[in-house]
Amino acid sequence: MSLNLNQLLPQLQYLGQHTHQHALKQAAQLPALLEALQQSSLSQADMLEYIHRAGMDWRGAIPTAEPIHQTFPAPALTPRFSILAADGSQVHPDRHAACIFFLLNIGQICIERGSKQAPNTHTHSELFYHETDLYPGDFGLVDNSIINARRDVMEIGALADMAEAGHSRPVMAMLDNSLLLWIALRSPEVPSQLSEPVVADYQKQLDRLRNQRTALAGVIDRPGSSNLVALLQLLGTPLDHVSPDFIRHANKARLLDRTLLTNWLPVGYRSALFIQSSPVNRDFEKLGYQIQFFYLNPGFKDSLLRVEIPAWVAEQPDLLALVHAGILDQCRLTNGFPYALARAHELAVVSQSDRRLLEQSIQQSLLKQGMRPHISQKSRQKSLLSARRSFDIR
Amino acid sequence: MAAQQPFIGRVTRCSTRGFVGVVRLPEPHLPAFGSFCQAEAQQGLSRVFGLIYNISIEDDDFARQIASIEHAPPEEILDNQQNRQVPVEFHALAIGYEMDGKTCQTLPPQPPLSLAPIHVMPDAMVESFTRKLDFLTLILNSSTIPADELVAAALGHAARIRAQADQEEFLITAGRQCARMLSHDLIRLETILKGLHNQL
Repeated sequence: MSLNLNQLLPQLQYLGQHTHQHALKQAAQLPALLEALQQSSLSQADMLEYIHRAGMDWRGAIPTAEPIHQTFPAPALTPRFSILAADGSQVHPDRHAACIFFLLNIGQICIERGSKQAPNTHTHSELFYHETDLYPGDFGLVDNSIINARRDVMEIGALADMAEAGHSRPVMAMLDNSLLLWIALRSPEVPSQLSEPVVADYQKQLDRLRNQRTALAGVIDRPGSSNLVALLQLLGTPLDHVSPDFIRHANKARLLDRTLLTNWLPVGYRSALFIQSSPVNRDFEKLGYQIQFFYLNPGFKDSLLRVEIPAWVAEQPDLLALVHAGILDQCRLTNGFPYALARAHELAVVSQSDRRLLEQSIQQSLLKQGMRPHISQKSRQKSLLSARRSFDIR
Repeated sequence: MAAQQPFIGRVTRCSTRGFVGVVRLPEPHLPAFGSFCQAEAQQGLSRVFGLIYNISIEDDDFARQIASIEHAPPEEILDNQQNRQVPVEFHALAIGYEMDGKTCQTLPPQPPLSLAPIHVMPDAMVESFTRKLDFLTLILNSSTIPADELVAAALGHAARIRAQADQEEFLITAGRQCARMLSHDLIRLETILKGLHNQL
């Protein structure tokens, strides 16, 4: 064991105290914010005026035609429909390994509800070792964010493949993350020559799903966003005071939306629909993929999901109802998180033993070519030390 | 020849006394208690014969969640039964081996290697192997397995693959062999003979 417990023990005590005080401080804000939510009487146009005055840098939930305090019970679930889910994992390049490569592993599942048949499952594993994959452009070894974004594209591509395969209609498709491509969110740090093709490919997959009229949803468990809280705080400011400068200097210490809603949203209910304000979403909107979201109480202790849907789902009541009821149905089996997403993760995850097997197989492949693969001394020493630790006396 | 027989799994742990195999559900030829199997050893120079004495399904927290739901949808139940890589583990006791065309009913000189394929032992081979019953000593001397029940199940299996007319005679011969081996322990002998009687 490497931890210095003597040093850590007092720190752990302070951590506990700090977390408790933080929770109390947050709880003190709750009543006012909940009242602001429930008593909200501003029209959508009035709220949009606040947001307009706050400027382009304001990050929060933009209201839709649904009143922000309205909640919606679970609609009836159609007896026959298809549930698609995909999830991915990756092995990033390691310059200490026998050779440079990266791996993307995508797990996918299709459940045809009402068929009484076992679901179709599949794992797609792909190794990337060409120069063009490892050293795109002139930016050195590929950045992990590009690899993660390519994984996201493969995940949504797997959903599009399944949606086009002609399963029972209607079709609900789920991803275990935000629908706004992560690489696009951090685009200032990634050269546009690298990010733009990935984003374009992602949007192509969205197109395929839209053409199939698929009820697509990005499901985020334990969401860490404060979009709705930001909106309520904005609406609590006198309109005359709202300006981009005021927003820049406003206190950003915020409650999370899930803290606000967990005990407020009834079991099985969803919140109103909102639009996330971000430059990426504005770009997506121009192409017809504006991302909207709602919160959903799946009915398990302290559980709250943020569900992101594209505009084509939000604007079709039958698709919106399918996402709402379908996710609830899936959560019933697995304590508040959709079964199909849990299975897709299981199909995708690359365990430590899988990784060791992969590395051994790569070394064998190199040996067959007459090469003498070797890992770096640093990597060798690390593996020796970790092996020694596994024999520690308990 | 072994490769043409139904595949029931691969070796994951082994010793000269036996081996443990893993198979994924569902297989058309799931191993059964008391059935005969074989695994290659010594790089194909020999074959180890085994008798399956324990079958277990590993604990799985994910499946337990589904099990606790009163009206779980059939699709998810089937997913867990057919798709998920929850292995059935079976334990086989080594009861003999074949090397250079000669069959011996003693412990093998070497165990099969990890991941060696395990196949069902064909009926003709079971019939031939059980013409001698020396392997019963290996079962009866094993203290950590349900030996008495295994003897009855294995002999019952060996009887059923014989012609109808020969089944009773085989079981009577086997019963006499057990009586010789267990003349010092009449309580165990009675348990086995009752088990054999139930096979008739």
